[in-house]
Amino acid sequence: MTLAEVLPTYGWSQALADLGQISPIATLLGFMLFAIVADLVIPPKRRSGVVAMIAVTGLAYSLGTAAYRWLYEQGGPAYSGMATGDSFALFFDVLFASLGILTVAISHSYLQKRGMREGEFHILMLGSIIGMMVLASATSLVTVFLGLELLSIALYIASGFARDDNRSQEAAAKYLLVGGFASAFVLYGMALVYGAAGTTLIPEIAKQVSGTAANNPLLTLGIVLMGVGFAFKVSAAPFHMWTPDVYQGAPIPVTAFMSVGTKAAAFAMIIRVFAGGLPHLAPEWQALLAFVAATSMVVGNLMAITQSSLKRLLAYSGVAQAGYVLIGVIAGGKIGLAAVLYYLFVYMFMNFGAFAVVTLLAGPDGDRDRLSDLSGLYRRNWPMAVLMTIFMLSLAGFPPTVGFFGKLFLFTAGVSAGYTWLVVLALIMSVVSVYYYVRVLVPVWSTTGRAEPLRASPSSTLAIVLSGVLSVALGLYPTTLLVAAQFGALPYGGP
Amino acid sequence: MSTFDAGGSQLDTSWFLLLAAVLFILGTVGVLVRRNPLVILICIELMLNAANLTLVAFSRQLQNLEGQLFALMSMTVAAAEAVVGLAILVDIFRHRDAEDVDDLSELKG
Repeated sequence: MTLAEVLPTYGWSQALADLGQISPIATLLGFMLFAIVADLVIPPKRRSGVVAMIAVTGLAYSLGTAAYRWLYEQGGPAYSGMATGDSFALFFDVLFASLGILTVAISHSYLQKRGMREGEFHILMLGSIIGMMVLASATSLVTVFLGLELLSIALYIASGFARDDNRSQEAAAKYLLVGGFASAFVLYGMALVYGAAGTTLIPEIAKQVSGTAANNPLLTLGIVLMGVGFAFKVSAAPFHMWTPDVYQGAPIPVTAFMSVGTKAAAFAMIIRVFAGGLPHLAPEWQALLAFVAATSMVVGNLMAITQSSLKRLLAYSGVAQAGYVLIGVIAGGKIGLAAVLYYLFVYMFMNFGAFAVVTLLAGPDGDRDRLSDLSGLYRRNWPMAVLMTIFMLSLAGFPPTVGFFGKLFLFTAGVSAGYTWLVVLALIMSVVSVYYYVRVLVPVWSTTGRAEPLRASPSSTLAIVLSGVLSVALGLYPTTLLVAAQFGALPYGGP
Repeated sequence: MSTFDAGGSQLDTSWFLLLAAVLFILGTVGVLVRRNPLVILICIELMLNAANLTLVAFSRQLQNLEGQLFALMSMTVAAAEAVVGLAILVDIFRHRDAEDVDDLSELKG
């Protein structure tokens, strides 16, 4: 078949329909290119504010487009089945766009305080968000790999963004070497799955594998290799070693962004590939993920206890949280996947909020993220102390915060799918986690320590207050978000 | 069609897969045992190219172009990753001498 024969079958109407399916991504891509041009032509003094405004506008447009399509349009496959605009993709588009707006809001004053270039930073964040959205929309192994690399490469640069800071450079190098290693595993696993199934389109793989290829050793090896690579990306134990170092070294807004964003994107990828492409091999990958989930919960929670740096503590807490979310993925079905989507969405507010409060403490010389740096926070800025308390209690899973309901949904799904031992382990480990989350609150409410007021810029305050309010409000009224999560899980919810 | 016709002699696909597997394992071992960050980056490239070879071999065997498309895409990505990786390493070498990844150990706890 020559190109001239193929082209007439791909007309304008098809092109527009395909573009419509991925319009949240296309919109953001347009704004990112616009931001690059603006960064070139605008004089340096006004550059940073303008690029930040373009980034926020683009993210808001993308969010609006996703919300509109969610409400009024029918999602379906695009680009010969390489991508899709279904409700699962749109749910994650909304999540990533919201996360992007919060990140821009807290990073503006932080970058100014530390004297870092702002234009490039927002452009890198937009690139990474586009990668995450591509990942959530991918229905082909090729698209999954491209999305994964787009998000990772932008974050390698972002974590080394404080170029004069040795720790930031070290974080970038470690993230790059470990991330590249994980990507190679993913790619080799995908190559083996392609060889066994004869196609890279995930829905086609599901059809092929249900037939003859199910006992193929190539397929099993491919699943294991992809599983290892994915576990690296969600920072699940025993593949989590890079997480604390990278989280600690990277500038805090980047840490806040990737602690939520990469995790959500990697879970979207796991659901797309495993639940979407290999439903007939569920026992195999469920066993693998159950092992990873159990290790993550134990290692993450136990290692977090001894940390003195808040960034490292939250990194290990993130490892543990990845374990909880994996329970929902393993349980699968409508209840399990809806619980995963609900948890990932609310995790954004509580975890991002906690990092955002630490962002305020940063000085021109670097991040101040030791637990002792928090001391006397309530005398320095009492609203931030109250919000920090909400975030920590939510991460620990106290009612009526979102963390409690998120865990409740995940654990219920786990029990009803027959993984009682995993849920019991998760409950024991949640009790352990209360210790270190409350340990963070001790310096916050202590009467000693620094007393000079802590100033917060309006945009940071807005982002942190919004996260705090939603961390409670979505717990008091979980129904709307839960229904949205169920709708988002529909493509893989099964009967 | 499970064989390659190379100048009259037939070569089974499994030889290509075996070569790729050996390259991949060499790369993995290299990443795990070598200490120079540049060499580690090269080993990662070796692993990616082993995966590419697997893709192309399967593509030929299956008479299906998707694998070749995938290999082209991943070569582009590997180039981008190499560029960013070298840039980060050069930036580190400018500030300090880091011939050994064990020197990059300020972050721990």
